[in-house]
Amino acid sequence: MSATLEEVKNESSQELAERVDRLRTLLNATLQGKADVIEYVLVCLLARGHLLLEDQPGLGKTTLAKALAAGLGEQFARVQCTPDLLPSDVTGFNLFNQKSQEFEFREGPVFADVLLADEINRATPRTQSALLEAMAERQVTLDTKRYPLSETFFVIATQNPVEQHGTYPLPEAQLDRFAMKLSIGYAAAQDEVAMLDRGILREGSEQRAESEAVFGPGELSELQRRVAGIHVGRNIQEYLVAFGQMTRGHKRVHLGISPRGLLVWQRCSQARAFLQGRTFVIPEDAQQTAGPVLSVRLGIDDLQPEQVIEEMLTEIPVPVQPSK
Amino acid sequence: MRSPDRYPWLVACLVATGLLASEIALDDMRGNVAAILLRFTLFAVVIGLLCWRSYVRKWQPHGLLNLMALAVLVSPLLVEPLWRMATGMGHALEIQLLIGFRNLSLMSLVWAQHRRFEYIAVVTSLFTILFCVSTSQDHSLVWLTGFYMLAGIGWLAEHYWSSLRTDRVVGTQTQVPWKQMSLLAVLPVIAVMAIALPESIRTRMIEGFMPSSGGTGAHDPFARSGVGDGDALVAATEKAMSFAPIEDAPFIEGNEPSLYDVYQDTYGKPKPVKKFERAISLPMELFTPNHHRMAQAKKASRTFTLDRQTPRRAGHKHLKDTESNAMLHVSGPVPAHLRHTVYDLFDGREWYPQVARPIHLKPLEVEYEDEKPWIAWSFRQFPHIRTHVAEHALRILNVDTNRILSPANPLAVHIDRCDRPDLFEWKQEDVLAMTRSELPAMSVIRVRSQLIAQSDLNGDDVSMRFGLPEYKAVPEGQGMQEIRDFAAEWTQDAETDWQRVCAIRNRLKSEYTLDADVVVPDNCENPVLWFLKDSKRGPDYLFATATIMLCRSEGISCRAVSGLYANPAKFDVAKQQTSVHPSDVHWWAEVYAGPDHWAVVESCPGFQIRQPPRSWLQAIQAGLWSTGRALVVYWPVSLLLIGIGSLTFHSRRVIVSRLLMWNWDLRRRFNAAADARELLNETAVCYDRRCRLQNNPRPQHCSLAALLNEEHWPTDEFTSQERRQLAAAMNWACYAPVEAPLENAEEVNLTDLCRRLVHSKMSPRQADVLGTSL
Repeated sequence: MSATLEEVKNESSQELAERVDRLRTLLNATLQGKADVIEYVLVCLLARGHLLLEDQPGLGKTTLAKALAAGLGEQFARVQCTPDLLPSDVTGFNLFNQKSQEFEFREGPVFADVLLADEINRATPRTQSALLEAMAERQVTLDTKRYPLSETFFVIATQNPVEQHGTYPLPEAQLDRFAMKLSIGYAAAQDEVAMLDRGILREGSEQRAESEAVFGPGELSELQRRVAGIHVGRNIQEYLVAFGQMTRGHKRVHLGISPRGLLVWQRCSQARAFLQGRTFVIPEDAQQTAGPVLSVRLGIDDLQPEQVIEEMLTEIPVPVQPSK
Repeated sequence: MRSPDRYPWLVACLVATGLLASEIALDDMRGNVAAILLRFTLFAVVIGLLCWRSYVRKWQPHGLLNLMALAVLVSPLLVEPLWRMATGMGHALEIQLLIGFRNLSLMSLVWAQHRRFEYIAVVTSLFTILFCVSTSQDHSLVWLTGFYMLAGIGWLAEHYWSSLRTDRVVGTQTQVPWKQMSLLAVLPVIAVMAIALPESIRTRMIEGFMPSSGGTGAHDPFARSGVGDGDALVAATEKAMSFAPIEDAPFIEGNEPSLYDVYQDTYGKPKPVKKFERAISLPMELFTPNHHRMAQAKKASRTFTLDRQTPRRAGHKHLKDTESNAMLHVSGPVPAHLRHTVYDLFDGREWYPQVARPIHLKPLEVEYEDEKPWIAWSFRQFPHIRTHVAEHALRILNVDTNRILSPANPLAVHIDRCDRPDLFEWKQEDVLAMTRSELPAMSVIRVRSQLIAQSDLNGDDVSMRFGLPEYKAVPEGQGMQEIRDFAAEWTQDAETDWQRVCAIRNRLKSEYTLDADVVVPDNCENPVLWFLKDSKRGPDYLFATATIMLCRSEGISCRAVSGLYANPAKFDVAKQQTSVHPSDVHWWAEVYAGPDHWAVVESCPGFQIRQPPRSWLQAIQAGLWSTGRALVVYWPVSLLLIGIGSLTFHSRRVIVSRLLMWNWDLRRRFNAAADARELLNETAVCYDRRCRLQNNPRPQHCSLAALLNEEHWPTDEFTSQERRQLAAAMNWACYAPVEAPLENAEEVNLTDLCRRLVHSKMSPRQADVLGTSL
C-alpha cells in the first residue's frame, strides 16, 4: 500500500531507503544475476536521468523497463522506433474535432511516466530530435503551446550495436541527454539456468510486479528531490572538476566532458550515496558512477572506453582531507 | 578554519606593502629605485606563484610548518656569517632581524588561507613596516605607511564583519588553557636562567636587538646609524672604539711611561758596561760604515743589550698611579705583533736600532675613504704571495711614544680628522711616527696592514737572501762557528729558505723553554750560544736573537723587532677588543720576503701568528683533513659514530615512522579535547605518511576509507566491523558537512581505533590489497 505525498515528505530517509530496497528486490527478481545493472538503473532513476541500453536483442531490456514502470506504479509506454516513425507519433498531435469544431491535442507516448524507446537508432534524426528535446526539456511544444511532461519522466532507450544497416547513429550532442549508457550483457550460466527453470513464472512475476507498486503517484519525485539535496563537499566537487579538466586535455579523448555532463555525474553520485544510505557523497560514489555516466558522453578513441575512463580515474588523487 | 576568499587579497596587500618597505629600508641611502623594484617584483612573482599554488592545491598546514616558520625567522642570522665570508658584504643585526620577519610574513602569506597564518602574516607585516619607518629616512615610506593603514583598516573591518557572519551559534566550552599556562610557567625559568648568566654574556645576548644611540660596544662593519658599530659615545677609557675629543687630544700632556721604561721594568735593566775586549763583534766591513750610528745609538741609550739584570716582578712602577694598567686597547684581528722598534745590527751582545735610510722615506699621501682621511704610502704587491688586508684600531692609554704601533707590512694610518701628512714621519723602515713627542692620548688610531700567507713563502719566486747587508750580518768571534753548526744541523732537511726558517722556528719552539726570569750570566762570552747550548731557556729576546742568528748563518735576511703582542687570550668578547698590558712587551724576528714584505717568525712557545683567512678551497681542505685526522686518531669513537650513523641511515624510515607515531600520541595527550573530525583527519595524515615512509603508499585514487573497507585487510589488527566503523568515520570526517554528527558515535571508541590504525604494522602492500582497478 502506497503512502500519500505528505506522508512521504515526512518519512525518514531510512523509510525511503526501505522502499527503494523493495524496488531493488523486485527488479532483481525480474532480471536475475544483474544486480549491478539494476543498481545503475536505480541511480539513473533517482538522479532524474535517462538511460540508454546498448545491447543485443533478447537480453531483457523491455522486461526491465516494464518491471521498473510497474514497480514505480507509473504509466508505461513503448515506442518501437522505425524509419517511418514521425515526431508526432512520439510527441502527440492536434486532431480536429468536428463535433466541437476545435483542435484537440492527442498525447503521444512521451506523456507516459516511463517510456521505452526501442531501437532508437532506427528512427530518423528528425524523430530522434523530437524525442531528445522532450527528454531534455521535459515538455512538448506544439503550435506554440507547451505541454509539460510528467515530473518523473524517465526514458529507457535501447539500441542494437550489431545491426547497423539502415540505422541513424545518435550524434554525441544528443547522447549527452542521456545520463547513463549501460549494457546488460549475458547472465552467468547458473543465472540462465535459474531463468529457464522459472521461465514459466516470469509472466507471473510481471503480474506480481504490477500489483506490487512500491511508489505512489508523486512519491518518486519527492525521493528525487531528496537525492538532489545530498551533500557534496567542495573537495568532491573539485575532484569531479579535476577529472573533467583532465578529459578535456587527454590524448585519448577527442571530446571531453561538458558542464552538463559534470552536473549529471554529480547527481548520479548523489543518487549512489543515497542508495548506500549516506547523506554525503564520497569519492567512491563518483568513481563507481563514472563508467556509465562518462562512457555515453566522452569521445574516446578506444574500443574499450570504460577501461580508458578507469585508467584516467587512477591518475586523479582522491581528496583525503576536508575542504576548509 | 579557512578565511573567506577575499581575505587573502587584503592580507596580500599588507604583506606586499611590508615587503616593499623592507626593500626600501634595505636599500636605504642608496636610492637605487630600479634595484628595489626588481627585487620587489622578483619576490612578488615567486610568492604570488606559491600563493596561487597553495590556494589551488589547498595546501594544508602541518606539524613541521611551525618549525619551518621558526627556521625562516632565524635563517638570516645563520646565513649571515656564510654570506660575509663568501661575499665580504653583510647586514647589520637589526637588518638581519628585519629580513627574518619579512621572510616570515611572506611565508605566512602562502598559507594565509588559514586563519592562524593570516594573523601571523598581518602581524609580521605590521612589525616590518613599523621597523622600516623607524629606522629608515626614505620619505616614500610615509606614503607606504599610509597605504598600509588603509589596507589594514579594510582588513580589520572585514575581519570584524566576518566574525559576525555565522550560520549558527556554537556552544561555548570552558577549557583550562594548559598550553598557554605552561608557556607562562616557562617564562620565569628563562628569566632566572638569564639573570644567572654572567654579565658579559647577557650583554652579548641582547645587544643589537634594540636600536640605540649609545652604542653597544660590539663592532659590526655593516652596522648603520650608530647601532652596533661601537662608534657611539661610551666611556672613553673603556673601549678602543669609543669617542674621544680629538680636537683636544694632541695638546694633552701626560706622565705615561715610554716603551723603554716598560722594557726595563719587564726585562730588567742593562748591566753596567764592562771595559773589556769582546770575544765577538761585528765584522769590520759592516762595523766601519755603521760605526757612527752605533755610537750614537749607544750614547742615546737606544740599543738593547742581552746582558741584563734580573727583572723585578714587583709591578710596573710607571703604571702604579694610573687607573687602568692597560697600555692600549686593540680592536681588530688578534693575535697581532705591533711593531715599535726594528733592530738590524747585532754585535753579539747588543741590538742596534735601524735608521731610516732614504729608501725607507716613502712619500706620505692623504687618501679619502668614505670622507675619512687615510695617510697612505706606496706598497709593492707580490702576486704570488696571498695577502689579506687587516685593520686594527688602537687606543693609546698609558704609553708615552710617538711611534705608531702597527703590525708588519703597514699600508695606511688613519686618525679621525687628521689629514696632514706633515704630522707624520718615518722613524725606521715601516715604522711611522708623529712629529710630536707622543701620540694623541685617548684617540683612536686605525692602522691598515697586510697579512702574508706564510704557506706561499715556500714558492720559488720568494727569495729571502736579497735584503740589505745589515739584515744578514753575523758577528764574528768565539762560538759563532758552533751557532753555524747548529743552523746547518737543524736545517739539513730543508730545501727552501722558508723551510729553513720553519725548521729553526719549530726546533726552538719545541725544545726550548720561555722563561722571562733567566738572565745571561756575567761571564758569558756569547749569549746566543749559551742560550742554544747550555741554558735552553730564556726570555723572548733570546729566542728572537737566536732565531735571527741561526737564520743569518744560513744566509737568510732577517731582523729583530720589539713591540707589543696583542694576546688573543685577552680578547674581551663583550667589548670586542684586546687589552695590551706591560707584560705584553715582546720581541720577535722578521724574515725578509721581498721588497716591502716581512714575515713574522714567532719562535717563542705559546705565541701565535695571525694568518690571512683561508680561501673556501683551503677551508674545505683543512676541514676534511682535520676530520680525517680526528677520525683516525679517535678511531674507536669514529667506528662507533659510523656504526650509529649507518644504523640510523638504514633505519631512517623506521625512526621517522616511530617519531610520527610519538607525535600523534603526544598530540592526543596534550590535545585530548580535539573533536572527532580533527582526530580522524590527523590520523589519516599520520597513517599516510607512515605508509609512504615504508614504501607502501596508499594508491592516490583510493581513499583511506576505501582501503579499510577492502576485505583483504589483515584481520589481526581490526575486526571487519571495526574497519567498517573506522571507514565510515573517516568518510564522515572528510566528506560530510560540518554540521552533520557522526552516526553511532557513542558506540565507537574512535580514539582507540585511530591509535590502532596509526600504530598498525601495515604489512600488506596497499596497492596489492586494492588491486590496480577501481
